[in-house]
Amino acid sequence: MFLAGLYRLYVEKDCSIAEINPLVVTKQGDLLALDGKLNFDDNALYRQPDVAALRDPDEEDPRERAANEIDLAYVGLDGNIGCMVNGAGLAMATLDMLAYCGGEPANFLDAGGGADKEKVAEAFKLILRDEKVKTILVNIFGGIVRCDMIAEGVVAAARELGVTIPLVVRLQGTNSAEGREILANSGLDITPAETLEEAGQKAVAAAAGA
Amino acid sequence: MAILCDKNTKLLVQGMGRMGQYHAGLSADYGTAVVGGVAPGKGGTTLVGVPMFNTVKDAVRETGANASVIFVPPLGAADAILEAADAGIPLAVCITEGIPALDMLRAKRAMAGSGTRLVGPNCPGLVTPEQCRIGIMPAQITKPGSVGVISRSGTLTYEAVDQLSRLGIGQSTCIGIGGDPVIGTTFVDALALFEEDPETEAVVMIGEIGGSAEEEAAAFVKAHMKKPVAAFIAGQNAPPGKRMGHAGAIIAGGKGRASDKIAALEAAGVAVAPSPAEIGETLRKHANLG
Repeated sequence: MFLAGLYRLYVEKDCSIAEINPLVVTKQGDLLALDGKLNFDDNALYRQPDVAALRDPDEEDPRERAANEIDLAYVGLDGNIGCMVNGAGLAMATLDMLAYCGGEPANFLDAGGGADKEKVAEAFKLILRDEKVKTILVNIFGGIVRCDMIAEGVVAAARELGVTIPLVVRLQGTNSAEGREILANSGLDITPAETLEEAGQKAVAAAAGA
Repeated sequence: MAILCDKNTKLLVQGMGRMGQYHAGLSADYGTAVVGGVAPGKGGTTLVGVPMFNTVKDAVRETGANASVIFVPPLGAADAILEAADAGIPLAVCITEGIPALDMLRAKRAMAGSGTRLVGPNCPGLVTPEQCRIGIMPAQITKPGSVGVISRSGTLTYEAVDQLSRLGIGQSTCIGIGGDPVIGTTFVDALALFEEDPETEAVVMIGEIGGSAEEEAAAFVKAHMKKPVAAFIAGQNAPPGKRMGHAGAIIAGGKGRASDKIAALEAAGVAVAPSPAEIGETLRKHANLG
């Protein structure tokens, strides 16, 4: 009976985990749920308003909460190299690249496939809120996203926010040549990188020297 | 010959919003036959040069379409997939990100046994270089050749394809299978297609943390693949319990770790790239190419 109920709960509330643990049998032969855990599918929260209302922002990392509000995928880490990447897979691979080069990323940040100038500025603000950050690495592989537009966003954000820490930017893919030209002509001290490996090495060196 | 799509593909676009229209145009520019768009109420009109239909069934009857790409927003995307399956389209590619997992579970169950293969959701689509582009990949970085590429990611796929092309190694077909926990075509399905494809000589697979698809792929490679396979697993430095952008990219309860996936792949004879910068080079050495 309780299994059918657990299943119903799982389906009706769009759970990703519905767990009872431990479940005990008492001396009287009764079943007793001593603890339980529910995880919910973020993608289904729009149709589970009562579940969404349970969200307690105080329980979340303030950096992650701020990212959530502007629709960026962000995970705070413990290192000193702030990362802004487009796409979740490449963002994970960028953390791997930094670690492989001997560095420590401060965050995972996927600016998304539709990143625009405003998103870039918001992402920069978010990264700079973390006082541990000694260097920022921007790694963009342009597909839908155009590198020249990202370059404009990076330059605008760096100016507006008065970024003083080293900035390593790697632009590849759609309109990357135009993007690199915008960076080079910006008058800002931006270190360009061609390949993923070069980007990783330069970011790690910059963080070590800062 | 490639897999799943080639110059004979006739493509429909379900969901002709801003994204749908933009990518329909890019695919057509690449030489793909974009034969129609589907949006209820738009039947009989033309949008960005593409004839519109009210339903997938109408579009298939009128155009002979044999593939569909879905840009419908998350709330309606699972229904759009089922509509494509119901119309008997052989290949449905769903780009949409953010579909509730239970909706996908129901859709996948409902289309089991149908003649429709689903790729995605939450994927960048497919490219057979110089023949066909379905989805949102930057096709200009691809190069025709004999390496099949399979990936759970979007931009990391572009990174890998770019590395291959720069080494002079072309691709038969590049396929993004999607970053969601419930997807249509899996690594195993795509590996089997590449193993059977006479024009594919080697395969690159790009996995990531979360789930057990890479472990299943390793078992398949060991038991059934003669062609060399190279791999990279993203998320080796991801903290447990955190969702890394993709809905399916999470280490939960000690399961889905990169180290376990890498060990399983290496035990199956797959060459695993030590860093994401060496995906192309790892394949080149392993498959004796270039």
